[in-house]
Amino acid sequence: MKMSDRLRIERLSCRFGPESTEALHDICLTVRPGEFVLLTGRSGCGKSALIRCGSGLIPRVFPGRVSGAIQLNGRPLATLRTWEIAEHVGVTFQDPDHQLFTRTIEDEAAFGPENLGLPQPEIAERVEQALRLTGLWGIRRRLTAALSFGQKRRAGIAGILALGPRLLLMDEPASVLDEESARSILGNVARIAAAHGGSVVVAEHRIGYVLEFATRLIVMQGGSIVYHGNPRAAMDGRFCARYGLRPPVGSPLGRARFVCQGAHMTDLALTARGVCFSYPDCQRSYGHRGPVLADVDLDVAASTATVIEGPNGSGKTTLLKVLAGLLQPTSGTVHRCGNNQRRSRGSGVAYVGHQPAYLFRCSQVERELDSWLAPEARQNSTAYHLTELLDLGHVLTRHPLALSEGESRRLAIAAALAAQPQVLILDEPSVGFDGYHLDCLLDALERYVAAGGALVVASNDPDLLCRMPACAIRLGAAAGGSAEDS
Amino acid sequence: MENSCERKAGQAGNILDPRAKLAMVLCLYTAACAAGDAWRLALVWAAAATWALCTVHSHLGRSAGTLMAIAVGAGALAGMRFGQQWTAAVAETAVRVCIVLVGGRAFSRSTGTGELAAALQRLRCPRSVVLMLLACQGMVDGLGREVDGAREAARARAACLGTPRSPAAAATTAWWAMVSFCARLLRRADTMAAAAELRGFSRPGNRTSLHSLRFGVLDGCVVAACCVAAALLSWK
Repeated sequence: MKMSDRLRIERLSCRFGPESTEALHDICLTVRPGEFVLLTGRSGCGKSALIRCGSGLIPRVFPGRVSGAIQLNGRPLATLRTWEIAEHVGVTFQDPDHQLFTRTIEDEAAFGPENLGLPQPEIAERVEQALRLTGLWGIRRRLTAALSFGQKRRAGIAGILALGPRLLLMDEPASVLDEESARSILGNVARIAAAHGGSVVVAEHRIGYVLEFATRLIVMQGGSIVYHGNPRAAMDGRFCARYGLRPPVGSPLGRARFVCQGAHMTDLALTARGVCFSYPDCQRSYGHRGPVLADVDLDVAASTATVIEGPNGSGKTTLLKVLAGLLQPTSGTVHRCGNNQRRSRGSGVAYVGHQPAYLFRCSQVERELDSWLAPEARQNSTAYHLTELLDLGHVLTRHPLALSEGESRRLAIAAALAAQPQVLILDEPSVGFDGYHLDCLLDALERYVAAGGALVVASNDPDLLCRMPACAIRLGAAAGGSAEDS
Repeated sequence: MENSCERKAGQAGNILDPRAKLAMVLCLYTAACAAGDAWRLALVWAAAATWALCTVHSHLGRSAGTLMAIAVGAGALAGMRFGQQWTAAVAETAVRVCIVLVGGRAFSRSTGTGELAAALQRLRCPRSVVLMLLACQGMVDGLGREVDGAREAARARAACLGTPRSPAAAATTAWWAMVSFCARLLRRADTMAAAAELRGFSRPGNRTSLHSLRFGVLDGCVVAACCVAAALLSWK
């Protein structure tokens, strides 16, 4: 045993969850000082479970049966009290909403050091450093409730960095972050790790961001480690295909895979003219009084896909909600051109947002899909095709609320497709999707567009953007971003 | 540059020391509960003044302003026109409830969590109570976000599939929205507990603070004025 190892895991197995399924099997892993480890693999392969076991959350906070030995900085994890672990390990979770406790960004960064009883000058120094590293120093007094999803993610990371942990375990830190923020934060974290002998373990599907910083790659499958070695291996498209990873953007498998055919801008499904939007409560508009959307013109034609991109806090989600009719524009008009025969129910617009679980109303995945089926689709096997297409066949009898985040998102998209809407609006649809499921998603969307649907997607995911058609709209940083943010 | 809105709504104000604001709100509550008919109008005007003061450095939103305006109007009408009738009692109760709600909201919207925690620590409040209050506040904020998410999803589903027409379908919709809400809330509570533990939440010993508070002359004047007013109203 080397005393300098940040984390040493020997023969770790873990069972948890309502069905006590084996999430991890015979894992052996050592993380040394200064290492930047990229942990990847298909959804449900055990990445998050490994992070939770490595930080002692299983079985201390989340119930589960764990066997094997884990050592943190040379000390057995079992002998450390939970608050002692906080001095060694920092963990960021998938959902940033679930790790914010205080009302302002500055207080959020100070929360951990205050709990550890550090002196005030040191807290101030750590808070400033963490907020500068995450690009939040300029908006440090802003309310956390007023932040966009990506900004919340950065606030969560700042809260962990302020603790000054020697080992950082990050669960999908780059999801929903724009490219500049993701590269900047990961780069800073890597620099800190290299300079101070800290170690970083990043569990991530968007490996393109992480590969340039990673010193080691670990691929998991079915709860076991199946590859352990040089990160450059993931630059090979065949390697990625073998393990169901997302191919790097530059590889042959990562290039644009579907294009719109026969699209005519005269066949409009949705038009927006001079759309402006301001929230009556400034708190919701990312802390700014000015309009979140200013004079937006947009034409969405049938048989086309439109991608809306832009930095975190630029108003992508707000624009989607206005297009979906969930928010009324302050000025301007949104016109849904409803001459499609399929528009037999509702407004013909389906919207899948950040919290898809609230869309479900049935106790079984199969029944849920049935409840969304368009009347004309009931005669054929549309639901069956969708479950196959989006890899939901194995969860048909499960409760929609018992699904993982990725499965829940796939079900919501499948349900929206089953309704055969004229316009399908998706907000960050690829969050939590591995390479295989990203392919599934693209297949499903390609068929929808080919069948005459109009697709609008807001995303910062380069793996998704590079494979979508070129009809892209980029929002500026007017609403939430500022020069100081990034 | 931070614009004016950011100063009002995007960030907590710090004109008054949180301890002074706490004393102000507590005095107001005492007075609201204790004041008799003769002092109703004075109380209403005191509440309006407090609301105006808090609005200067916190953004209450339209609903709170409207609520307060209705309360002031109802209180004034009840005092002037209905005398001892039962409507006066109803209006008086409404005024008291509004004072409690608006006072609490003004306080929470104008005081940062860190400031509040530091103030409570300076008042020798036990660490467990301070942390519990922080966790509760985080959970309450989360609750609001979950409610927003549930409402938005219900509207999105209705936009796609149409609004449920029968009462049974509407009830089913409401039931499943509630089930989803509870399930997500439990999951959020679990993850928040884990996140708190990994940020030293359960560490024994003193908790320090980023904020260094200073109880100034203005704070002293406000507390003294509030205490005198509350004592007078309660005595009467």
